[in-house]
Amino acid sequence: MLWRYKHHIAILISSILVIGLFILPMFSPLLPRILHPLNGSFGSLRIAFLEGFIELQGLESEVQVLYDQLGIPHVYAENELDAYRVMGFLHAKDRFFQMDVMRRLAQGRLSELFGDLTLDMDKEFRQLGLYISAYKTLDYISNSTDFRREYEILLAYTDGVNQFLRYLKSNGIMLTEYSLLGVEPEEWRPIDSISIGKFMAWSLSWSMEDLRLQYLVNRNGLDILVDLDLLDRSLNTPILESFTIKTGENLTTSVSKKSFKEVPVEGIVNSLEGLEEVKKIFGFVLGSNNWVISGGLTRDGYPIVANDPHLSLTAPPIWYYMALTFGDGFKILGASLPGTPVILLGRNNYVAWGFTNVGPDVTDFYYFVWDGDRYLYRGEWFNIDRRVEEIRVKVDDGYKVVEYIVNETVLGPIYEYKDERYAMRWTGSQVTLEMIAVLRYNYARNIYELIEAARYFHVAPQNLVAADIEGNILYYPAGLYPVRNTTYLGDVGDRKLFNLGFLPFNASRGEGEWIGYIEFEDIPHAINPEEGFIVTANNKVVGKYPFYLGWSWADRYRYMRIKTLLMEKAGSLTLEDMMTIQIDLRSYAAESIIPYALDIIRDKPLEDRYMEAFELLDFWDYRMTPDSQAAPLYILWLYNIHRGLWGDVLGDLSVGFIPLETTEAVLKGYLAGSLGSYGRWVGDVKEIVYRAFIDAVDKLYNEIGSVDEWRWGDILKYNITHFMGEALPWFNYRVYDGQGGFYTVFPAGFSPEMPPYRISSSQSMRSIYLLDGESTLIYFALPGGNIGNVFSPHYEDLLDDYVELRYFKLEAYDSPDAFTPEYRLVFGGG
Amino acid sequence: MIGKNVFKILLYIVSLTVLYMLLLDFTPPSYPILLLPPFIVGMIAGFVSWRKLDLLVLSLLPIPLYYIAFLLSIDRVYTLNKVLATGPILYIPILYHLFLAFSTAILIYNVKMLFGGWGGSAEESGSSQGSLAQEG
Repeated sequence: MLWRYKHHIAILISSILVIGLFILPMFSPLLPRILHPLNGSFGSLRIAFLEGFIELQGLESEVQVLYDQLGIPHVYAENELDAYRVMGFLHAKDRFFQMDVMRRLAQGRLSELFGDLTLDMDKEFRQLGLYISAYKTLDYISNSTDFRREYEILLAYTDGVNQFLRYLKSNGIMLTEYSLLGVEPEEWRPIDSISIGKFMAWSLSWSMEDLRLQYLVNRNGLDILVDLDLLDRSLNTPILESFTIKTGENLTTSVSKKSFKEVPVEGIVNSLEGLEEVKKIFGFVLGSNNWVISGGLTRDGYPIVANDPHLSLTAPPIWYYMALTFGDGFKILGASLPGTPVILLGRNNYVAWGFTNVGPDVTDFYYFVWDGDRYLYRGEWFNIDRRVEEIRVKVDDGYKVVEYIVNETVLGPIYEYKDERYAMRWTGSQVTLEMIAVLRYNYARNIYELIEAARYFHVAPQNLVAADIEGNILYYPAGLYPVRNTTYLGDVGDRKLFNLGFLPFNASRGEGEWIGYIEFEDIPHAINPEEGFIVTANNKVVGKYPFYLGWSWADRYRYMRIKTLLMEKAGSLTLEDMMTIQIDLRSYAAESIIPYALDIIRDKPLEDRYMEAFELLDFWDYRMTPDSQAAPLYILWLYNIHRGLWGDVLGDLSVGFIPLETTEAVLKGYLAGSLGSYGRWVGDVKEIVYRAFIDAVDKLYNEIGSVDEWRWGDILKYNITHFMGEALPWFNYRVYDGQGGFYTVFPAGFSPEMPPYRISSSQSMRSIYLLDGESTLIYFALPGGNIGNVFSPHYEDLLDDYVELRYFKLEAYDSPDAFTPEYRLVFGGG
Repeated sequence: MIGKNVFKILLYIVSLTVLYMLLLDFTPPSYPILLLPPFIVGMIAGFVSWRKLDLLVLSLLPIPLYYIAFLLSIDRVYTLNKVLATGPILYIPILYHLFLAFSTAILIYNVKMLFGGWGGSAEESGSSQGSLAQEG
């Protein structure tokens, strides 16, 4: 009987199915985004192989872009503005999502993409107010006739980015990330480029070390600063031995009377740890290396510049390599920062330059006397300024608005935790002109023009090393270094201690006022130094010098290793030698510490497994290669020793707060029979070192297995992820065996507490430039691929060679006919 | 005769595949418009089919064929691997479209059968006219 109605039944069931399939996406936010593969979630596939003619408004002449076999675009334009307009288009085509995330991060607008997940992060950045200082900076630049050229470049670049977004729209293409997020890409504005610059500057210079140091002092007293040599860092090797002030105008500071106070900071320190974590998204964790050597030290007689900035490893990488040729054959090439119209690290026909982070103290914290919401500042009462921030947060059917109140003082935003309230002042909160500086580096023709450009490099101060084709070499850590009114803290032994800026100040008494900045000419620097070379590795800038720059320098190990290797072949150094140094995996820290640690416990009876491990280290060559068996033990043992020696002193602070040089000094002092000023702070050194060793071996046996199974590359991995990689693992790069350690020239940054380890930061690129006046070559490596489009064959094609310690060559050819590209884009339109 | 019928089926399959491709190309990725391509393919498949076998073949083959051709058109191994690695992001829309096309085809086919075949007799009505399996 039912058979008679089979068509009716079939119609009924199929109708329900059809209607159901049509309405089901209404109940699932993700489903509509993936149901149109070609124009939706695979939208980026349509851009991955884009080639041919593209109409671009605003060009004066045709621009050719030739992508080489590495996915690096070579831009050939008649004039500068055309080149930068196309640069904007290419940045957007190959890296728009990365640019978008960076600008939103800086402006506190990530929640417009990711919803509640990033709301806390947005609140942090609204509090910081980076976008406010970005607006001030843009306003200043746009209204200044001195910066007309740079402003025009910024506008041209911005237009190029937006023309790419219009290209997408007019062709019905959604980039994959946006299709999956269900958000339309937002147009680019000049403020966005400035914001990205501010974010980079913040991540490289903002710190709460003052609060951490206050915590340490609260816990241990002022003596600890002197006994552990935390301020002077006399064990550190400075870049320059000394520097004499040139202008003769010494900024005169006043000193207030004794004012050390144990102000509570524990809550604030904990609450700001999140912001420190954000720095690691793109920023400085490990420091960087660079050096410049004059022609007198090289085999061929030409200067060489080498640079490897250590930043977070991300998919895609922070840097985007490109080469621009325009005008009279002027070439600029190197690592650009997507979202900004600059080759940040690179060269042109005449000069090459590189940066490492100075890491000075350019952030101060202030406490006040409070009366409700009023604070006493320099003897006068002020009301808190309240800034209401409206944060748009993506929800399923649109956006909601969350209000966030930021309280500010005249010195800066307030950070508070229960009764702990501090105002924060940072050099980057004002108008700063790094973009101007770097654009002027891009068209400098000798080191003297670089020096003039460096006057505008305000924050974050960078150890600039450079050379020109005339054979000149330069070191200039340009930046804004505040000079403060000091505070007398008290006597430690026979030393009078003054707060130069390393502890919070009492602003109610007017302490810590910034009375000015070190004059540009008085910043320690060197032009054609006698030694013929300069190396910087975030170590102390200068020894004898009248101004305070900071105290939190990187340990000297990378610096010493590089310097040693350079000196070994001084006079006959080659490009290959530079490469050998940049990829060096021998740990000078291990070499400086392990023999002493072994000697301390050499007379301790050890059972088989411990004796086997001991001998492994005793015969180790200190190289942290993937095959190293000793490296895992070294890392854990060193961490345990450091923690064992300083755990009580540090409390909740991380182990890395005390320099490793201090641990080295303790071990050497113990063996020499004299611990000096360290003695009262450490316990039984021998027992600590011994227990640290036993614990490290046990941990490795439990987590990994016997000694035969210890292999550094099995425990440490390159596992480089995309911002959306947790939800979409196919955005992440392949996993590779790791190498290096915290203090090797080719470093690896990771959390050492418990293996296995994931490398979070390392060389974000490495580049070497030869200034022979004929070629415009860069030898480089990149931890990923140049194109950020996940479907492009150039998404991660350079990673293999980066890990295998190889280099590629980038050359800016004179004309587009000089080489055969992989594919070509031609822009025209006018 | 058999060859001619096979040729016709093949022609329909290819036509529906091309139609699906063109519809995908011109359809914006906004809901619910993005479901039109499989819906239209399913409608046509249901309309032109006179036997269950035609229905199965014409509603189930064009969409997978399109995606096979799409994957084969990717001449870079890395890109192909990456597309395949997207997993559910690739498979869910394919299966969803397939299911929608098939359901629509069944719907149209049975409506047609219910109202007497529309200008030709169906297999079930015993007529020998109008079937893809027949000549002319």
